[in-house]
Amino acid sequence: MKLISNIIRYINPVLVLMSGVMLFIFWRKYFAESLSYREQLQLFENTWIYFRKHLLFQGGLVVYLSEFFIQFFKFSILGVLIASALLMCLYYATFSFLEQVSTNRLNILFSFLPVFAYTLLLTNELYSLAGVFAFIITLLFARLFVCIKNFKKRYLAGIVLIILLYWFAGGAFIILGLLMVLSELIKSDKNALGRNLIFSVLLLSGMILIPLFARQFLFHDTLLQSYLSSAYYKVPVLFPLELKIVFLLFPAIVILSYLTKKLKLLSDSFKSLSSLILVLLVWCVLILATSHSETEIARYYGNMVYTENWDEIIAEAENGFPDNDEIHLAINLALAKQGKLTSHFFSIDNLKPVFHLPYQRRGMTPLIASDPYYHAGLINFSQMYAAESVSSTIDQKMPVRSAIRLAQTYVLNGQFSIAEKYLNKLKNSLFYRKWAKQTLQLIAAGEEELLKYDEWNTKKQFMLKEDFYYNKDQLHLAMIFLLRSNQSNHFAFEYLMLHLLLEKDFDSFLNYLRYYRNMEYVETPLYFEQALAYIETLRPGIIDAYSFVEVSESTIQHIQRYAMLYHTNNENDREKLKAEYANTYWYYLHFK
Amino acid sequence: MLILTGIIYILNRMKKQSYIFLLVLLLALSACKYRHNAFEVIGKNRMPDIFPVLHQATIPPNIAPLNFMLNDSCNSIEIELQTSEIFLVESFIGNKVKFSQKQWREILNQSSGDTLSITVYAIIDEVKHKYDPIHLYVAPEPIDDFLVYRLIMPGFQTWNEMGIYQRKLSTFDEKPILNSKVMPGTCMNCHSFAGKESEHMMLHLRENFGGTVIKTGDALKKVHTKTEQTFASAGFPYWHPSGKYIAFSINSVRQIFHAKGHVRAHALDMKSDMAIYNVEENDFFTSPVISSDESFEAFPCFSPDGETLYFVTAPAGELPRDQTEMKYSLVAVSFDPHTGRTGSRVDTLISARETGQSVSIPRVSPNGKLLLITQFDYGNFPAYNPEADLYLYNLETDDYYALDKVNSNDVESYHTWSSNSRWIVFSSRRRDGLYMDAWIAYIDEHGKGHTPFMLPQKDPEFLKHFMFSYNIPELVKSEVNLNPYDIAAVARKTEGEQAGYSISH
Repeated sequence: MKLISNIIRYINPVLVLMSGVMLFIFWRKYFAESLSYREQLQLFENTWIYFRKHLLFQGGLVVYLSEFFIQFFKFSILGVLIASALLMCLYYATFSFLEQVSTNRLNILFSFLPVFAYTLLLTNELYSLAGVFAFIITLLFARLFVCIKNFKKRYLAGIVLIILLYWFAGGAFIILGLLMVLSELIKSDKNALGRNLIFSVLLLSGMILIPLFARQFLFHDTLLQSYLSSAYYKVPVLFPLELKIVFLLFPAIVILSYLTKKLKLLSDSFKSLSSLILVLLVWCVLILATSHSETEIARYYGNMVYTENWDEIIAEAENGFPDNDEIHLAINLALAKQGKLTSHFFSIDNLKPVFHLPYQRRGMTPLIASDPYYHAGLINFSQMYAAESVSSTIDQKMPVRSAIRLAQTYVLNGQFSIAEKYLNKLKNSLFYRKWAKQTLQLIAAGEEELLKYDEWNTKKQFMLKEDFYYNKDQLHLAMIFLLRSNQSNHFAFEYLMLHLLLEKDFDSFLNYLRYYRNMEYVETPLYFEQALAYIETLRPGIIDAYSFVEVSESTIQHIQRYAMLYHTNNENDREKLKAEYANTYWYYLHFK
Repeated sequence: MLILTGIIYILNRMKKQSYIFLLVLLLALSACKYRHNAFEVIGKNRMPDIFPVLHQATIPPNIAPLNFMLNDSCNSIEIELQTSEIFLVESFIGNKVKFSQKQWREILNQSSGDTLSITVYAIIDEVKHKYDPIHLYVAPEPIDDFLVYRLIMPGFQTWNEMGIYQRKLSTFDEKPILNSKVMPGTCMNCHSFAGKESEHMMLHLRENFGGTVIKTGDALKKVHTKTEQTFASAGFPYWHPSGKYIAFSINSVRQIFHAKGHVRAHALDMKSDMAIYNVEENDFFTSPVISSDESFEAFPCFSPDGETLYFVTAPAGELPRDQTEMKYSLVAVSFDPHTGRTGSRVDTLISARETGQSVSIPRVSPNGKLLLITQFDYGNFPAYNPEADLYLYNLETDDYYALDKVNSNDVESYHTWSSNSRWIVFSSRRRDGLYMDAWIAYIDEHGKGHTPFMLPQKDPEFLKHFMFSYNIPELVKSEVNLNPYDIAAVARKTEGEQAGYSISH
């Protein structure tokens, strides 16, 4: 009994602590990579001009605040911590307001409802973190409003707060207005009912008129955005049902709190304990019922490409992955970067040869799309895809990842004044400042100085010497151009040769083996051995003719056994063939 | 440390009112322009390295302040501004020179037809570095009051933010005519006016709520210009001076992207024809003279009297194979404004066969004497051809020459005349090879082009950070009285009228 009474006494801190931990687990386990990805979608500049720009549109302040915190999401653990802490702040702000309006033991439970709802919304990248700030400020404003005792001052403050909130947090001013009206109706005595009703009508009329006035005289925007602002949902023409529910949730919980207090059906202890259990239950359900979404896994691979963790990508791929083009692209890229594309491709189950993402007119061009071109040496195409990402973001923000890539490509192309535009923006960021400053210094010193650095020199060496036009269906030709420009372009060689093997184009494969010696492989790529061993069966003498590609005795023995199993009609042998040789080029040749 | 201790001591002794007084004083001091008494003057014997470049530019008497910045860092700048009537000295903190609009207007009012010299002193560590003076020539003729342009990121195929804006040239005021905020997901382009009058305007909308919006007086309508007989919607427009017709080229445009080099893309006109739209009757008319299978016709332009239609044409080719062989000639055909019909004889003004070059975007000066074109190696979209330059064709003497003082080593592309035929505004990539800027140049009574200058900005550093290009500059005499919401309402809420089509043989 004492334990229960202690729990009831400290229920709020206990719940906050436990919920914070649950939230942390939830984000860390299932959405850490998506949170981290949010950082790549913006370029937060620590300048007065950037801040002022945000103050010039409705909802801009909360957008600024969210961008400020999101810049720390670069480190996923910080992203998880910040998201969890903010959502717990939302709980506190809600609870604190509810307690002011209507003291009720169930307020704890009710205050968690917006947290649950917005947590779920934030798992979708289209919903903005700015919404959390907007709701917190709204609740603080609402609390301030109810705390003012003098009704004249309160009404005046209400109008000022509504206008301020509209400008700072956009659509949340609707919630504030509704909360003010409800609190007036709930808290006031019967004599003030008429006065409160007049205030409510005036307030609600003002809430309708403020955005109409603002869009006529202060800015131009769609009617929906004039009311809602860009602080909540990235698609400007939509106000999704889920978001509408969250908006309505705040006034709804005030009503719920008021009604359940009036009913007095349940004891306070029961209310407290049931709140505790229910809240914990919801967290448990959220954690246990959620699984890794395909998007989250794609973000995981995308983030590893961003940080160039090639070995980690390969190691992770060996454990399986969903059928997703961005993931296939990341794995192929990692294999090519590590020179393993022609020795490991078939050993990774279900890996498809996705070497680039085709241009799509609708939707945002994925940030990863420019990466394979950049690493291959196709600088203009890398620039094109990075620019396409910038031009196709839904919220019209500059993705920092694309800004870096654009700066790199302009530097490599010798277009320094354009590179400076991006570098100057990056110079104002917290985590890219150092790199941007160094690069600015290098380009100011000139190309000679630039080429002293490996980062630039290597890429420069691989750049094209001949021009051709982009053709998404003829990427292997681009690899041939790259090899003609630099016969040591290992990456291009890997992509080209695997493409030719997959196309079963042996003549071209043998033709381009002429670049093999330049690649200085430590070990002969397995699929080269297997391909030559196979071609030997069709054209005897090939292995001798291409003796510079060493075909091991073990490969010869394997193909003999493979041939034996392949030529029998025995079902068991077919099973053995699959079990033993599914990861070989021969199996691909015959069965895929 | 001693000073800091002193300040803290004084602050501790001050009352609240004194704090306010101190704050006001500090604010007042910081608002004042910086005055610096330098000890030493060093002559640099060279022009100052400023952005934007201004030296020897001819400027209109009604242009906004030509603010500029020194590219070298300095503590402050002192300038001596001198004409035959004026001499004044101004100081500015930092490396930017920003004139007050009122003062600048007064200077220009007194300098019409005169030379304006600006001597710059960069003050670094109490030393004045004196540069050779910048000379500006203030022409007596004003430029039209408003410039309309599209702002768009220089991307490849996609876009997410753009807008058509009007800028009052005597100030820095810019207003949207339509932008992506008001119409998200809609591409807007090819704004065009009849005879520099903002009363008659049109623009195309693509993708969401697509159509062509036409403004005649206060009336707005939306038209669907793709007909059964045409292979695409109407493209590049030119209004007849009467406001009754709009000549369009209908183009099938494809982009190609280069793997190497600074020229990252080219736009190919795979096929093009022309048609004349009757605004009142909502009907297209064409004839084999301006729409033929054997040739591509594009970029129409009516003469100011409305009796001649100029355009560019090239024999049909297969693209991209024949890309570098596509060279367009400048031709003219008569036009009867009463019947809305073209003549049957085509006169060649500039033959691509003779010049070995291609011409595009013909624009006749409002006085009917000069024809401004862009000339380049091949094709009819000069935006990605670095060799593209502006040329003038004298319609009275048939002289034809490059505007050497106006041109640069990079792209000069779209252009527009001022209604008094003395000013042109053109887009150019000369600053960095990528971003299109609006440049303004004076054309004197002999048809000679003078040194141009960039569209002035309040903050001279603005363009260094701005991520948008100035696209399709069009000068108009007065403000476009069109609310973005009105255009959006017509585009969204009306179905749009389907245009008709007829062919004469």
